[in-house]
Amino acid sequence: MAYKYCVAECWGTGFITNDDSSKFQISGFPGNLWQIPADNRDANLWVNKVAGIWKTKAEAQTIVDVEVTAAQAAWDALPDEQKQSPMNRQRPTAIVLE
Amino acid sequence: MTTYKGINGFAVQSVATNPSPLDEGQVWYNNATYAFKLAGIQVAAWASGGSLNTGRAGLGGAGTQTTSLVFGGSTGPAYVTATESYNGTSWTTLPGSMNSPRAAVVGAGTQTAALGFNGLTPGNTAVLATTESWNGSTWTNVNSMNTARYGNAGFGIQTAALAATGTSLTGPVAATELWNGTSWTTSPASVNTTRYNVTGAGTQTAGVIFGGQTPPGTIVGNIELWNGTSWTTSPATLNTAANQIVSFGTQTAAVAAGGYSSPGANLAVTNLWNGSTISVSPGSLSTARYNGASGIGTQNAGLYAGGTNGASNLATTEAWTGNTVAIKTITTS
Repeated sequence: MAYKYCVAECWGTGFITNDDSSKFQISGFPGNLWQIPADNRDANLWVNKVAGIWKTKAEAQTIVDVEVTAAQAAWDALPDEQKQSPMNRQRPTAIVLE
Repeated sequence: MTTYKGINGFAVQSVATNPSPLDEGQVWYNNATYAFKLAGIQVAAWASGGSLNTGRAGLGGAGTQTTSLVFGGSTGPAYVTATESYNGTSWTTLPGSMNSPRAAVVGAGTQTAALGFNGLTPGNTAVLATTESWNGSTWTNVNSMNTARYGNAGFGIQTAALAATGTSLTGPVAATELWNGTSWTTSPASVNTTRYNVTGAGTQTAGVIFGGQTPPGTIVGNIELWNGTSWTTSPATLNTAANQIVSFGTQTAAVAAGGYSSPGANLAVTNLWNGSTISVSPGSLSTARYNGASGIGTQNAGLYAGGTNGASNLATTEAWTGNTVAIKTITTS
């Protein structure tokens, strides 16, 4: 499936409604990045509703990479006892957008 | 020509107000809005809820989709005491904070009568057995558990809760403990598969636990059922083994959502449990996440609060609504 990307800050209730998510899949990524199906009228209307800023796939990948790199650096700076806790999140891994 | 009356034996009614309750497939004409209406199925889905004031993972939860409570958790390196309440639209940070900052805290109860137990101290230097009780405005330290643990399952109400399995800093914990409103008692019955980062739903006498990981770290999809005295392993398993799932509901009607299956593989899946089998709903979380607050809501109306997407701990929440009968306007072209 082909996807499109936008950046929009989730304001909470009403950002994604049941109606939105029952019509098409919205997938969130670090950096307030949202992935939606391409060539989907409802998805395009949703981006308009949330005042999303369209990003190319390359731009979207850069946004995610910056967020993940920062998160990895933060994780690397943790003391060993926190890294070793199974409850603590794992070292963030790279995300490759489809 | 086939007519509505010919099929149903009665004509479409003209009414000024929409009927209640609704029957699926019901059709009527609303003469106040000049529109034909249909009671159709609104497909189960997640929607954005209000964002937490303090984004966090490993937090405790209690209550319903529209009257919820979260407490404790990890904002990253910091473990917090903050308590927030939800009214279905927005979260409010309450003046009553937990007495001990902790992550991996487990919750039970309601927005005004909750219990918070277990967890890890800041820096992960100690595992907690302490229990705190919430009366709607303040947290009070009450009797501690017999076995300190974290990553365990827990559910129930403020006066009748259960804690199952989990781990200490040195090794797994198998024991089940029961809370009677005053003290914890260790049950003679332990889970069949000792594990941690497990989640559960239900009551002290009828519960279910999902997934988790067995030492030293194998992620499992096992499901076990609790009948008040013993655990039984269900023949059903999660389609995707995962830990740190969020669950809510009852032993026979629960949701197990999200989770962590392997590095980089955060799940958005919504598992529906009917007491004997698992099915995967077509409605997925918009943000694949794990380690949020369990115990908020029912299989038809639940809430996923906080958690992490692997890169950061989240303030966003998502509200789950199961299949419902909703009013739709019939349009013609």
